[in-house]
Amino acid sequence: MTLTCDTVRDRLAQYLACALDPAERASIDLHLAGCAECRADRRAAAFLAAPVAGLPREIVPPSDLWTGIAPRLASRPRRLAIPVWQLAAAAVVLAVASSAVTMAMLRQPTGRAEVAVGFASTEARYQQATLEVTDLYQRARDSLAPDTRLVLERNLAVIERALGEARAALRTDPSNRTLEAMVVTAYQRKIEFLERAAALDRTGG
Amino acid sequence: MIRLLVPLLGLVASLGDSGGPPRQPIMAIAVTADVAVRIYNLVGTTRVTGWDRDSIVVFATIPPRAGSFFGGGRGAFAKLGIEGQDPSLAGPGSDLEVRVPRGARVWIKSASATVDLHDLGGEVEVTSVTGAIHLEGSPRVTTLESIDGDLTIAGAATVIRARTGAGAVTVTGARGDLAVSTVQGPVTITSDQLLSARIESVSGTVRFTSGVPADGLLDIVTHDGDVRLLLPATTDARFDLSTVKGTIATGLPGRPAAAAGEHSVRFAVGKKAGVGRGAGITVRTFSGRIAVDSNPGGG
Repeated sequence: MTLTCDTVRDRLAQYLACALDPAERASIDLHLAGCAECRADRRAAAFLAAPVAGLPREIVPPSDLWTGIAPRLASRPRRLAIPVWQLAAAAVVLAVASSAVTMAMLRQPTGRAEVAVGFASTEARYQQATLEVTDLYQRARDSLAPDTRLVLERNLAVIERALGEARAALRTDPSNRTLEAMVVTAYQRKIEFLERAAALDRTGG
Repeated sequence: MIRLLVPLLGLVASLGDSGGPPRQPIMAIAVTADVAVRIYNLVGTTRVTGWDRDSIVVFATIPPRAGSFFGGGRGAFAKLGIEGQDPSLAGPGSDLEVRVPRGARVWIKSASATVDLHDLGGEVEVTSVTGAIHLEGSPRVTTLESIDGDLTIAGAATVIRARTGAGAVTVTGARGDLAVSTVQGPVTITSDQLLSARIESVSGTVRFTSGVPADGLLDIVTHDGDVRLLLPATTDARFDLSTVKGTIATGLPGRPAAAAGEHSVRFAVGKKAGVGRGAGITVRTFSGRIAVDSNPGGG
């Protein structure tokens, strides 16, 4: 069964709660294996799952809450806090800024520059994700056996070399979509590997 | 329960090693046919075999200072293993031999321990650091993950996920969905017909010898690992082969060899592929060589 990203995101909560049947779980695993964005969502969901589970199911307000609020509202004067002339000035500034942004966008050259900007933002997201999992690994590193660290870092060096070569090639040919895909794949490998390395700490590696 | 287990213990006492005096099991419990079993053995060997009984039986050989056995559970859940092990200490480690219902869901944690799995039909999930993992049989879902150990899978497992670093991945006889990833380890896939496969490696070589049905998918990505596809002459597929700095060579019937210096090749072979259908086969490398040939031994 091929799943879309939307379907996977809808089921992440059940996935993390181990509430899916094995076939459905395997389908999501397969999708996650090839989709960095959904993996990032899974990380975020997993990060939130524990604190959310610890929250109370409902919060009952104290019975005297409204009796405390009502008199304070009644005592406030009902008038606009911002003078009219300030609102008018804000409207003018907004209109000018909006026109300027529109003009700037219309003047933006299309083609290579646009592609490069698009990929730059994609790469920035991967770099951010890489930093986050690197931090997780660094925190776990000291508790790992020296042999394990050696094995991990030998593999990471290979991934790092591949990433460097792909990025260097993309710099000389920034509109090459194949190279973009190579860079993304290298980031995905690095993130996955660091995630597994960090998890060794929790599982006794 | 005790009345059930006493004859069970007597029966299984003779099921240990084939030679020598019969070993006594260290644990025997009645469980459901699809029991979830968690097994921990970081150093040594773990052998898990599926059988047609609703019970778990464990034999163990634990050298001095190699930890101690723990285990328990009933019904749908069981947990067992060796605790107090230090993976960083040299030594033979502990040997665990575990019989579980064939449909069990088995989860195993290893560090350097080798793991052997036989005749399992449920779900299998094994993680190791450097320990090799060997599976024979056809579990519904197989997930093997190692940082550096070799992974060997033989049998018609339906869904397979296998990841390792420098370890080799060898898959034989798989038929369903396959996802393999290595850093440096070579990947060897051999099958009659594989419905869907995604294979990734940074610098490991990939050798794929299998048919891909007309509705199948094959996707291979490496950085500098060479890729060799050996496909049946009857293959009906659309090919998309690309490399940045490597080479592409194709030797399929009806497809002339790729010209020297070609870095991206798209073509179709077979009747369905000729009209936009057929299997989808994609290979992408940065500097690895891509070779696609007809398998003389394949259909």
